[in-house]
Amino acid sequence: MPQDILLILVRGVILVVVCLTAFAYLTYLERRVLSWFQWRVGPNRVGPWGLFQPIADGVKAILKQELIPRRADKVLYLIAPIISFSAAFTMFSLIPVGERVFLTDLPIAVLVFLGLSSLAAYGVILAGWSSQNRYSFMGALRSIAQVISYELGLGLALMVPVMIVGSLKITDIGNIYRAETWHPAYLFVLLPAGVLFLVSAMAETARIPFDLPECESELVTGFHTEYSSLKYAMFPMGEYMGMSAMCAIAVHFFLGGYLLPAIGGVDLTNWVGLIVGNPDAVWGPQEGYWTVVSLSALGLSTTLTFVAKTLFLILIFMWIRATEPRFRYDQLMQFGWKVLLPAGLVLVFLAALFVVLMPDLGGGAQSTMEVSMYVPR
Amino acid sequence: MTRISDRRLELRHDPLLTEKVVYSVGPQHPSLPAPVRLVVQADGELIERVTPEIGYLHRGVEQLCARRSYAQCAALLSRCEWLAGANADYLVSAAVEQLAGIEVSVRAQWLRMLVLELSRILSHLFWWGQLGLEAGQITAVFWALREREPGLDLLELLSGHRWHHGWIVPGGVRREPPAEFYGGLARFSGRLREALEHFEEFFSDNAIWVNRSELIGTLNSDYAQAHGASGPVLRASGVDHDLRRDAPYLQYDRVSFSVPVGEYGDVLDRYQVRMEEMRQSLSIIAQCVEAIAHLAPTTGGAGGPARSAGEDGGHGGSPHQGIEVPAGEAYIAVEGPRGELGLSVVSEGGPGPARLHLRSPSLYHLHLLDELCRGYLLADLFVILGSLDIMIGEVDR
Repeated sequence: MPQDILLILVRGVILVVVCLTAFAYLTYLERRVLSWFQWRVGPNRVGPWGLFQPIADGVKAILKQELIPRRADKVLYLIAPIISFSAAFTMFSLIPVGERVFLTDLPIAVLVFLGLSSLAAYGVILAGWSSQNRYSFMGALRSIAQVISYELGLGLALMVPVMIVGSLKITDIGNIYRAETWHPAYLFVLLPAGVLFLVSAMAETARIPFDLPECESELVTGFHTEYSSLKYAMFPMGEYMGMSAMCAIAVHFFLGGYLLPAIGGVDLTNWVGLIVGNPDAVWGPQEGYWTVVSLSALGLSTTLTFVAKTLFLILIFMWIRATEPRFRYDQLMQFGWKVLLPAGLVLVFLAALFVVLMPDLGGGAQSTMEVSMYVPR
Repeated sequence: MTRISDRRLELRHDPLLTEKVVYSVGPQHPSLPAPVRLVVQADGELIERVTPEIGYLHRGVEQLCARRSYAQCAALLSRCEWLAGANADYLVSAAVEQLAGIEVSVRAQWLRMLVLELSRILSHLFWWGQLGLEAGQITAVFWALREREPGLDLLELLSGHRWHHGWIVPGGVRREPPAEFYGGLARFSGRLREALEHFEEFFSDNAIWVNRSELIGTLNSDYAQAHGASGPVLRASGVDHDLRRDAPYLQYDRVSFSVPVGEYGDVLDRYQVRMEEMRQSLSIIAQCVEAIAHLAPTTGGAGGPARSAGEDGGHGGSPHQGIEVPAGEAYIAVEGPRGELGLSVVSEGGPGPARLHLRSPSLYHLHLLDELCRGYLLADLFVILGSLDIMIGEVDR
């Protein structure tokens, strides 16, 4: 038992360190990518290719003066960024990044994920509410409405793969294309559901064209107008982590997780093994010492695959940010309720139909939904 | 000012105790190009009243001008209309020429026209990028500035200055454009023609933008005319009025160009009118270049600064410092990038005006905001503001 706890702690620390670094370099990546779209160079002064820029930014954020508005509700004002930030990080702890590379793999991970993604909005709402600033308040109000509306589309889109696989466990869903229950006909519902998820996720994480809670040209910077120093930096951190978590979930649910397809009898999943000559990939299953080697090669290759897929989605997010103007608030609501929600309902209905009819169509076995309580070993 | 008792009565009828909210947009706000304050009274996000509060950028330019020479006036006024400074130079020069009865050579008139149209394009490009920012389209501004840069380089080649040129002077223009100017101009025009097609992809072909601009901030033609709107704002409302065509100055009666007119007077119309104006200006510039090529630069053909007798005629110093302008009054108006830019000058003789007044279109357009925004959402306010293309330096002088 103590070893277990220690292991979890070590993994947790690794997760936090990796996530913080990833956050820092995501900001760098976003600035660079945006500047390519905008005929600029982007940050290239600090260190080689500007690679130390995130560190300089972090130091600057920490050294800035802390300001707390006199009329602010101090407790909520201080708690808000922590909620935003920690919800996003906890979201990440749910997501396996490679074969046997994960912090947790809960059997009810999907539910926890949806819960946490709503919780992140509390940070935004409380920040706007407690700052006692009209712009912040308006940003918070918009955020409440937006999160409620788009959570529906988000949840419905996630239901489609969940129903096909019949599990709420993320690794099971990541295996969707190899599951017994899989049939190519499912692509007709899975692909639209993927698009629906990405759009809703963009709104949920409040990125352009859905960045109404911040909305620089209208609400100054929206809900975090009154924040400064590190407290301010925690909001973008939460936002970036939230965006990455959404992309990571999308990879698991719609892009086959950390696995790659098998082409011509060769399973590309263990491509590091193929390149460096992993015994497993070359001579089949091994025993003893070689098992460890092949497993770590598998872990490495799946993790890299996963990171590459996630980055691909993040780049799509950045691309859209660079090219689209912002929705207006009421249009955003209409889009959420009149387009995304019905589309989600139709998709869920179709998915249910497919799942029920699939055995008759000669597809996989009928899947049954089993949600078991998570019992730690 | 409502009395507290009235306020309480109001609240008693309203069981939820809802209140109207007042946003103070500005004087410092990310979407405002320069300090101005908009007091926005709203019911939630629904705008009920917008009251512009101006004066944050007041520098007393008109008062200053009353104690300065005409050359200095031009320099000051071009700092009111900084995106198209050539307009101010032209206004002052034309006023002096009218009062003093100075003839300007045809070639110089074509050259002036060329620079005025070039400034219009550069100003519109800046507006286009700004509008993108207001609408949350963060890339447009960089694309606009990228196309604008070679244009500024051209003006620098011409006059040595990028924004405040002082190149148009009473009597003509300060000097002949260097030979490489025309080549650069042709490259600039060619590039911009292509770029404008790409620019359309950002907005006109974008469903989000069309939704945000169609039938938003509509201005009907009667209200526009009654409240002194001019330029693209007036034309977008369906009033076919353009000083360049209806009261031609310089050589505008000798070029052919069409005047784009909108239908509904909404944000989309104002946007499209300005986009088309840029294309028309490019065509005018091409016609100017052709006309200039056929007029030989004779001695003083470019006009050259008017000088009073006795001045050394050298190139140093202010060129028309010593010019004596007879007493009289003059009103000169041009079709500036934002509308009718007028200059009224009263001279009592001497080297400078006794009184000078600038008629700035932005001042009128800013006060259309209340009518335009009423009943629309807070988010629309900024898009409408962007579509009016208000220059605060012109509002506060």
